[in-house]
Amino acid sequence: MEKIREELMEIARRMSDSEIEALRDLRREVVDLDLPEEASRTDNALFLALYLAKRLTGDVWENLATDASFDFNENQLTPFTISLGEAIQTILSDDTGNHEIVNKFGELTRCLYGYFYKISLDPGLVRKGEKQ
Amino acid sequence: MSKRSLNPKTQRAFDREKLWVAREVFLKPGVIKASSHGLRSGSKDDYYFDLDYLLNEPYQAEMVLDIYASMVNAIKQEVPIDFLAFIEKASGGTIGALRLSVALSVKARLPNLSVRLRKEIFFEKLKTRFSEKGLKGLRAVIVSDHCTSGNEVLLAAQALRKNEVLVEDAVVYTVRPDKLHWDKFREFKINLRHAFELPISYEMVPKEAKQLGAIAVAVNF
Repeated sequence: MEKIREELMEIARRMSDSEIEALRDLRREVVDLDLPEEASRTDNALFLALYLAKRLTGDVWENLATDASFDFNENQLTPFTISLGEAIQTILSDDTGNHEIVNKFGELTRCLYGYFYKISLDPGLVRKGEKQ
Repeated sequence: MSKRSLNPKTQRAFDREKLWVAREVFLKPGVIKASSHGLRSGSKDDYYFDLDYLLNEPYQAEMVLDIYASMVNAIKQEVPIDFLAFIEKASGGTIGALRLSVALSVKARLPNLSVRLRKEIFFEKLKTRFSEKGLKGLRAVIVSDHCTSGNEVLLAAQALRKNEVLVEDAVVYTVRPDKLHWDKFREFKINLRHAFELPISYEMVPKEAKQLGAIAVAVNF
């Protein structure tokens, strides 16, 4: 867990320095993450950072990169890259001033994905099939 | 098509004339597009191939369908197949082979289902009507349009295996041999069959094709 946090922090630092390659590294890092499984083993702050990274880079690649009818110009995403890098750094920082809000949002997302994980472990928790 | 990647049975099963026609399609403008293109994994490329364009036209779609059916039938000769699994991609890329699902299912006389990679709950990843026994022990062949690194096909295999489905084979229309994670396919014990290999870069477009105004690239047949 510490390793993922450190890697994420390093990528986020490069992103906030407007290094566009770091956005691609972030995408590579999170694209195949299994979020329900991550929810079961990470803390609120790290899960929030992973969730945001996966969802937001997903939005970028879905709309601008894969199968788009125009060229993918990542330089136009410099303000976004910096902003996402700063957001991830803030979420993962030790600054106690942010702890409450980060914890709240982290709890919110982990709560939902933790539920997905529970159902995955025990499908008996939900009723499957059609009602007769 | 890469002959070296196909076993002799598969090669025999192929209709060579159709494959030749299919190869020629790659030389038509618009089939392979030059572009600054972002790949799902985050890296970049200077062209892309879009199977969707081929499927817009009935005769080309039929040709593509026949090629897929040949690959599936070749597997069928080796092992019994219970169903075909088509991938609903999570990254919103081209929907590709999913559009062929019903037609291929009818042609190969095999049931089909969708693997929905976007779903987070593992049993929801398979769009099918579960029988009482579920899918346990049934054998699937994954069908997809294209493999760059191949991670999406492997994720689909994972989703199927988590639902106790046997998966050892996948068929795709095109691959990027320079980017494909062959080692992961070996590790996952997935035998990947493909019809065509796409070149490493747009630089490899034959000059003649460029002079004709074609922006397509010949494939490694």
